[in-house]
Amino acid sequence: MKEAPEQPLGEERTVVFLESATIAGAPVAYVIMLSAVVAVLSFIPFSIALSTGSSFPMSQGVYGLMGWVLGPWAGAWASGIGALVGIFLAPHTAGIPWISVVGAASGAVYAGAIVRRGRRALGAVLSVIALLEIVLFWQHAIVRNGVSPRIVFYADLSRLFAFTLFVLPTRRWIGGMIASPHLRTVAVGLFFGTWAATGLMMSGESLMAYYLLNWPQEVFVMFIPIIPLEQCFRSAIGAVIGTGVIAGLRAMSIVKPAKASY
Amino acid sequence: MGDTLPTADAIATLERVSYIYPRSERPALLNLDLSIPRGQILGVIGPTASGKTTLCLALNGIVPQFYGGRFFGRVTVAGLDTVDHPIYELARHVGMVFQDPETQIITASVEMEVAFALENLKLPAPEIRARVKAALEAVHLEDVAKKHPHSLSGGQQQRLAIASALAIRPELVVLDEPTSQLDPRSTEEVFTLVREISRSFGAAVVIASHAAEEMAATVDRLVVLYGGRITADGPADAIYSDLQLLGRAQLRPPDVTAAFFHLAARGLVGTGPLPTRLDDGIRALALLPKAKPFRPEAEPAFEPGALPILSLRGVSHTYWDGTRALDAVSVDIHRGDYTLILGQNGAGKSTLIKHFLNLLAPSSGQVLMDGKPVASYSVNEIAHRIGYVPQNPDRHLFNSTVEAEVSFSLRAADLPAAERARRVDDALEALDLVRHRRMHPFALSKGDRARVVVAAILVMEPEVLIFDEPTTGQDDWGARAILELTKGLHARGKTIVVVTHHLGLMPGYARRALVMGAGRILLDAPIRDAYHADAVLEQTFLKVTQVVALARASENENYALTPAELAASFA
Repeated sequence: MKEAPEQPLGEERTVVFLESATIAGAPVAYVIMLSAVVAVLSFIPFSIALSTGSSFPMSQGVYGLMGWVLGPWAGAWASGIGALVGIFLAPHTAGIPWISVVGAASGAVYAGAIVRRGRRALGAVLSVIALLEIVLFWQHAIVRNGVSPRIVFYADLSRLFAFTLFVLPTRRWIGGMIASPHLRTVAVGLFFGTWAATGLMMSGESLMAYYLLNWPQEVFVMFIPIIPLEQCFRSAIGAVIGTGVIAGLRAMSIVKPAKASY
Repeated sequence: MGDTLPTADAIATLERVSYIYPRSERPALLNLDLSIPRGQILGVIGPTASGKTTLCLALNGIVPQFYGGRFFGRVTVAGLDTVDHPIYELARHVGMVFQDPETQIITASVEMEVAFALENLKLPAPEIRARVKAALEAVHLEDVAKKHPHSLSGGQQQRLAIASALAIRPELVVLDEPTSQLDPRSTEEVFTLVREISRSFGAAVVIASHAAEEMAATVDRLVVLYGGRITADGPADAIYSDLQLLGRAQLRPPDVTAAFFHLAARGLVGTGPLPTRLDDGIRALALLPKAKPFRPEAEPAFEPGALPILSLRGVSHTYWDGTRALDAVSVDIHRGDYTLILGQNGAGKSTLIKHFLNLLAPSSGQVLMDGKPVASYSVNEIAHRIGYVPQNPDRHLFNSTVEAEVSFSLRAADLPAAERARRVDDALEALDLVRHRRMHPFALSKGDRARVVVAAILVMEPEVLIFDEPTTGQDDWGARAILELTKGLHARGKTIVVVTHHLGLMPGYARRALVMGAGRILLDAPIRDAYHADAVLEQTFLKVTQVVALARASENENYALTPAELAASFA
């Protein structure tokens, strides 16, 4: 038999996703699968006492991952659907249900803006929204409820750190780390990326919850050690699960969603 | 050569098709030209990672539309270019059945499963009902239409997957290793169904499989893939009787062909085309002088005086749903034994093994390790003494490189770093995984992934190794490599237990066979006796191997187990 040459002889074809099978550039199958991951992780409580009066679900650590794997909008769908399913299956971690769903979606959107390049407009809009949330939160705490500005500052440190990571060039650096071929770098990027994305997600959630619950200063004092601890847990979850997922997705050679940034 | 050029009556054509997966440099398919006529049953064979699955996936656009990567050339199915037309449109013409039916079954009842694709095609309800009924009748599942798919046996689940594919009335049905996890009876059911699909529905069928005996009896034409290329294309008889070609492609012929090859080597039959089907072989055998009685002195099932390391004493196990999986089973596994456990899907083999590992507690009876209740050992102690290589490797892989996976279990071991490194290197070397050590396990083929799991167990150097269907999804070379490894371990004093449906591979390795059926031990005998106990095998829906069938056809007292022994019985 004649030996065939090593190089492909046929004409190279352009491979495209056909739109009907995608949500914002991500295959529907990916969105459904990752929604299921979020829903399952909703079962696992990961804290003892929190702002909205219940433990937070482990799924909060992967909302950001949805944004990096699927892009901001498909990621928002996956996180939101997963959180919505989780509310019914695991009400013990749901907190205030509608806030949880909105928060989950926003976490993926924030993450979707943490990329090496591009999405400047999205980043700018989200920065303004985050700043507005912080201002409104502080105004509500200090002016309306008379909480000491110093206490609010200490209680809000982890969110301010998240905001700083998001608005400075660190957002690009983190995006670059998540796209790195080296998994250790990816893990570090995911840790700080999850901190930024879920920190700002919690900013919105806290604002909504605060307008409903009006925590007094005593609660803020409790927040000072708890919130950074929780944020560390979220970021560690995001880094551990995210590194495994991204390593697996890269290795399995399945198609990368159009808006993915890993 | 067969039909390699596009023909007017072809349902599918491939023209200069090459494909490179994302992040890969090596083509998975390279310059394939192939034409599949309507109504033809085309077999695709090749070693692990030769491109069989990629070819199957290219026929309905999943490659490249789902995987991405670089795609060259053109695949058309029913006149539709698989790059330009979405998968859902191609799915009207191509029905896919994957290796593991559980990966494609998604609904809560058998009839809903078959209806699912039809609902997505927006067919009218009466049409859907009619097609569901017809498809279930075609695969003989009409009596279980209301059952949950997960309550079906493996063979039934695979038939359900085929029914779901048939219901859309495709012109092409693609089956990728559909029987690798099935027992011989279920395998026979699936291949019978393949013939019926072709005959009754007129659909072309593409089937990739390592089941040489069944493929030889079923397909019209064979394509051999090696390194992503078509290295042979022709009638099944011609290809399966070309042992040199198969050897180069790391494939095995049907047992009957191998037996006649040995007879030809002894000058007992001509050098013309060798039979590839059992009935042809039996007819050809009838023309030979009568074989002599052949019964080598039986090796003892285990060494005299060997102490039991694992024992079941009157163990019964009833699952929560009332299924009695083990029924008063008493058996000893002796130190240094090599035991084969045979039986149909659902015979109780996995339940028995889980008792050895203390993963299940008996409903009644006792499980002992070295004379002490297995429950009295810690999980850590059991894990260090008994290595379990599961059937589905994917459920046990979670590290990001092969090396990390293989070395994972040593992290907690109190060993010097040099000793850990030696064990990992030895295991990778033994399983031919050195070149893959930096790769992600899921970047490997299924056969290679199975070897990674074996390596991860080997590094623990346990006393007992239990292999659950270790040759599933392996090509001949991969299967032999794993079995040779078990032989080497056995020679070094390890106790080996292998659970398998693939009887043909085990002579020369196991000495003792436990035949299980309906939760009981039906027979505990030396392997030669067990393989010739056709009545007992029949009770648990196993078939005698082709060599045994030929031996029995040649002479009642012919107890040959291998093709070479069969040929020797005629000398």
